[in-house]
Amino acid sequence: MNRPRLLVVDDHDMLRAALVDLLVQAGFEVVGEAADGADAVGLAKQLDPDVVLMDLRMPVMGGLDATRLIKDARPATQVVLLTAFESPALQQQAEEAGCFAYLVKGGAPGDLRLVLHQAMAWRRSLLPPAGSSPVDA
Amino acid sequence: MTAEAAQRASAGEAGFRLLAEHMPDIIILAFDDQLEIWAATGAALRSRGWRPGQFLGRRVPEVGRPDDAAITEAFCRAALGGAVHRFETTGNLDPSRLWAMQFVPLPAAQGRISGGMLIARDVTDQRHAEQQLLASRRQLAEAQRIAQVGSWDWNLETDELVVSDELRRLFGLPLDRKLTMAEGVAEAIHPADRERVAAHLGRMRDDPSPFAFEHRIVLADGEVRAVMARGEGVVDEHGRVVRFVGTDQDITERRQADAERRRLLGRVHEAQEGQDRRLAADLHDGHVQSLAAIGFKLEQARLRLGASGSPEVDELLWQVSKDLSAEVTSLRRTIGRLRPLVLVEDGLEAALREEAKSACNRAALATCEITSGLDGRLDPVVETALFRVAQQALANVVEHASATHARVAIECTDKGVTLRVNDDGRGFDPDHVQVIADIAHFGLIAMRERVEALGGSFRVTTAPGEGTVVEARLPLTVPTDGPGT
Repeated sequence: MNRPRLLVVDDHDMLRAALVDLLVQAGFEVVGEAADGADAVGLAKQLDPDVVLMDLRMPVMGGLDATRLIKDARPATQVVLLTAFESPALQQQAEEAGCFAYLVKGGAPGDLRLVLHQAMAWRRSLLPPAGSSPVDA
Repeated sequence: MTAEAAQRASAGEAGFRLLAEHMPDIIILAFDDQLEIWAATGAALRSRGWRPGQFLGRRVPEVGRPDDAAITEAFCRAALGGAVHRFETTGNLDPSRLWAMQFVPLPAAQGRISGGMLIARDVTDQRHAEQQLLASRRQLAEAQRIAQVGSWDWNLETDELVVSDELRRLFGLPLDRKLTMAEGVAEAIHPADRERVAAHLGRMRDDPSPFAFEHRIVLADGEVRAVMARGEGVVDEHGRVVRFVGTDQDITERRQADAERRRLLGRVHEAQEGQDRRLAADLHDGHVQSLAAIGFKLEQARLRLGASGSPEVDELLWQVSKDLSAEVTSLRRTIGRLRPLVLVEDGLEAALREEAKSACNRAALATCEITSGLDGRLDPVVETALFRVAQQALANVVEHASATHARVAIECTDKGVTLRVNDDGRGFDPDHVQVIADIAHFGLIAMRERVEALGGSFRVTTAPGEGTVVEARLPLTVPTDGPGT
């Protein structure tokens, strides 16, 4: 099985670097990084990652708007929101934007890895089996 | 006394005596054309132990003070000529008394003047009373001037208003103009307040109970003043309200001071909110991100150690990671208190629901119900103030009330919005001395100031064992300053 391909989006450089290091160490493939939502949309369209790990508050474009655009362009791509804001109202908005999950920074790191694998599994369930194509169906 | 005088005396004295008997403080001396006294009577004569014989046969100018002899002589002679004169002087036998001396002609048959009368009346007490009354009126006028209070007496049947000089000055009315409520006073009332004042006056016609209400007046030069009217009705024997008496006090400076205090408090709260927002942003953008990054590095270290690493080290890293996570959670809560994002993003009702949920998690509350009559968003300043009041009230419920149920209700009308936080906890005695320090501790003063700064009202209803209700009423928009708007 291929390693899950991730796009990591966060405007905080130190946190993004630590996150990328952790995810690589944990066996994920980080195919790209972005520091704002607009760059994230462009990279998502270009790189077609399995999962986007998305911050909420960022310059240029926020995580919710970026999620909507990514889901419009690539519905199978899963977006996991990782934010410092713990808010049921924001969680509701994230669900409505199409996020797979809403995680709070500073939570148990094991939870992050678990959710990323769940998102990966969900993406695979949405895509045709490997080697098949819509023509074959 | 001459034989003729004695004869006249015997004929007229009975009449004089009868007249004077019933007139207290009066002495009547009848004199002939030689100014010789032929009759002396009066209650004042007897009350002082004087005898008619002390006066009879003497000339009138001789019985008074020597200094008054000349004027007495002149006025006696004028009386014989048909004229009436009077003057006041002190007594000869008792200088502490003040006498009003009146000289009148004594008519006889066929329009002839047969002599004169000196009617002396002791006016000492009357003059003292008049002086005291005058002094009292001066004091009242001075007190009204200093206190900027004018008094009035309104006759409902005639609509006539009798007012003090200070009230005329307060309303800018001329001192000599006769006043009615309809003319002179009503037209001075601020146009925006006339309907409300008229409603008050209408109620007063049926209800004599004490009243107090504020209104504004517009002076001739356009200046607007704030006035507090107080008074009560006077009823007749049938119980009908016939008059109203009361005062109007100029409270313009007080209202301006209130407005200035509210403005300054508003700026303090605004600055506080701004500081909180900046601090929250600093914590969120800096410390929380850095701590989260450290958490990721710790987890990475654990993964690198893997199965080959020491279990003790792995356990230690896991524990540090867990502690760090708890600290970040605590920091996030602090940020949430400093700058409740949900309030900014989703409004008061959503923010109150989160606060209620948080209160339930922190205390042994079975329920914390939210009821809201809000339709849409409020003025951000009003939202923030009400949220802070609810936040403090719920913090008190959590920390002090020992309650099992709490309820937060918001009601909104076109006049304003009311927030009510009540609990079924132990309550407290608001009059108890020991509670005074706690009032500050509970944030009650801060809550009150915050609400009043925005022109609202704040009330706490509580009693031991009866739970507590915190109520804040705010206008829908922040009021403008000053009484003249």
